[in-house]
Amino acid sequence: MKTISKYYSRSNLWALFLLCAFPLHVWAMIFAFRDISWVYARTVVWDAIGVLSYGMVFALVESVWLSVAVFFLGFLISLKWNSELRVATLGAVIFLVSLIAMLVQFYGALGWSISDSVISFFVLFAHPGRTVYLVLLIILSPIVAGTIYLVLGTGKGAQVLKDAIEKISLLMMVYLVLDLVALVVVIIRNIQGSVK
Amino acid sequence: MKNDFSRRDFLKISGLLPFSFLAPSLAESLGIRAPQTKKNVIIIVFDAWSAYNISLYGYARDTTPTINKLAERAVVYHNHYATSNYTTSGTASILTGTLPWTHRAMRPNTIVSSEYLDKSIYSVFNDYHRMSYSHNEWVNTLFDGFQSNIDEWIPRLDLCLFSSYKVIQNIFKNDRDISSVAWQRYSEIKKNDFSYSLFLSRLISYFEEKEVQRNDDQFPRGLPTSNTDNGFLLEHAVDWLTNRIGEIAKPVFGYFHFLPPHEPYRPPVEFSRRFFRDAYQNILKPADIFMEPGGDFDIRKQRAIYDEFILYVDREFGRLYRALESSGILEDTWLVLTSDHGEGFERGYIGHMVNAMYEPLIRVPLMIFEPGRRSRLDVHEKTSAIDLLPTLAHVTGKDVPAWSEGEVLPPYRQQSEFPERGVYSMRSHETDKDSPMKAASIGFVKGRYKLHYYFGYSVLNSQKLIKLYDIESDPEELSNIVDKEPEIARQMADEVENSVGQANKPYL
Repeated sequence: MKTISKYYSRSNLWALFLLCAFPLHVWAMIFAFRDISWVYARTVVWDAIGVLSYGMVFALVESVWLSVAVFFLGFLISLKWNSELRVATLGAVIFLVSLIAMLVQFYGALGWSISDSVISFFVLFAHPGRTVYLVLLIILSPIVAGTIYLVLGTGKGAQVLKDAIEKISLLMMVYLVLDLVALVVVIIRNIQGSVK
Repeated sequence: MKNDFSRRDFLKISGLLPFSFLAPSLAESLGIRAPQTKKNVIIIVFDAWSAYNISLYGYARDTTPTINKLAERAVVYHNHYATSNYTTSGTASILTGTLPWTHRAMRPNTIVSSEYLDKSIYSVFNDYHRMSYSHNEWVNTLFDGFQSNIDEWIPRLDLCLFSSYKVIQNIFKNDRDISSVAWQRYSEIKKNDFSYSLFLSRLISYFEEKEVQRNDDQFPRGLPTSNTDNGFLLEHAVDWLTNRIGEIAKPVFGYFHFLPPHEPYRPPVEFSRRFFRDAYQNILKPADIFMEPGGDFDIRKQRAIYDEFILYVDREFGRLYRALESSGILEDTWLVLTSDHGEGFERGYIGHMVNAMYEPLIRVPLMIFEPGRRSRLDVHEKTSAIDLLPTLAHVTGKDVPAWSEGEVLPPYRQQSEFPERGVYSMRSHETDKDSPMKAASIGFVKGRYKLHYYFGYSVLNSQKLIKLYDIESDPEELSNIVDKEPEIARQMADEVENSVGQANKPYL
């Protein structure tokens, strides 16, 4: 416990969880709400609410899972940094990685494609898949490093991030209330099912 | 008349009563089986299995070597028709003994009308232990409608390889359907769509792919899959089925609907490339009005892979048969082998999702392995999937339900008593339960003739299209004789129009 408290305060941990939950919830909610109409068209409104509720509960579980992963990632950051700066840096990383994950889904879902010449370039290598990941690492590393430098190097950058975290935390509390409602819906549906 | 049975005799015999209660379990533990009075009924359906591609029915490729041998102890139906060319309508007809325009499951992935939820093969066998399983999600949708009459509905994913759905369905046991739909939307990364999850979906697909890779070397074209699962092995389903039937109380009624040889065609390595570059020649047929002309090479290749997939079905059915035989279950069982619809590789189409009614799409296998039968009997009458329910009711000593539209099949009814009737197949996949059919494809087989009757399609400018074939002299349906035999065409078309009119009447 002592080791943990060196890295994070209790409020830091809560902020970290909210930062992880925010992009996951926004993304899940956009698409869960989009699906309501087609689920309703095929079944009944209670089932449509069910799909939305399960989506929210799954997002909550994924948020916990991601928070644990990011929590351990924080131990890689030097103790010389104060805990707020650590959380701000981790927050920046979370947003960056989330943004990349969103772009990857857009790439698949909207049929974006890499030009044939780029593909034929990668095919020249013995392990094209590994080469793609290596190139991505080379491109992403400076972006992540630059973000961290922004947080570390300029007090202004850190302040902007901290302000953003506060605002997101507030918004996230609303989402957590929705999660709670969703959890109640899921419990009711499962109790109803067993009675039926 | 002198009564030799004294009071003393009665008391002596009464002393044996407690033993009589113990006797059945004692006999069972000693492996002694009393003859079963009620015979089990097991229906095995392989999805999208066309009679056209089965060597038992004359196909040039030897696709069913095992079944050919087993057929020597079966009643083999040579002109058996599914009621549709796709799963929902075809399966609902097997289960209700009614035509699609009666049970109303005409839209894909729907259940039958509320009137038929309690009028099914499950309600007929209500004194049996009724089991069901299918790899096919659409069949599970039908089971969902009948579930109050099914004692054991095995979840689809139970017989699939590792899948995160199993975890979800175990956690949310009482709300499997909606939790699975939500999980699918949350966790599945699909082309042209988004998943709700940003990270978990990637992690899950990584683990699922690992599981698939473990079996990859056995399936060069990938594992057989259906809908949302990450693969299944027919072997697992067959092993599970034989074990389960062995351990539960009899009599059993089981409806088991396995996906192969439905696409994606994924034969195991043992059969892979068996029919590539063989001497088989596709019969060239002109592209049909509903189909885009396709490359002949691709059709030939897909047909070869499909035929190889049938070899997998053949082998696994053989294993199932032998397992039931060696366990002694077979001698107390009516075992039925059939399909819900066919599959075609001709006229510019591959598969069955087409508005056509050609023979490969609707003529399916039917074999009945009767308890104690040691010889083969071939039946050439035109029979329909709706006949299965009344036949099984009849042979197991039940009343044939009045609501069934089928007939008891020969030889269980004298062939001379078998009525001269037309056999219908249809596809009207945009018709709702409470709407009349506005567009439909109807195949109507009567005697030696087959009428194709299409109406309401935009490609036909909402006109009707009628074709007539003499399927005895022209089984490949190459020569449309509607102009040569106008009177026969008119009579059959009148009959179809009358039937459609009757079916539409309540919904107009």
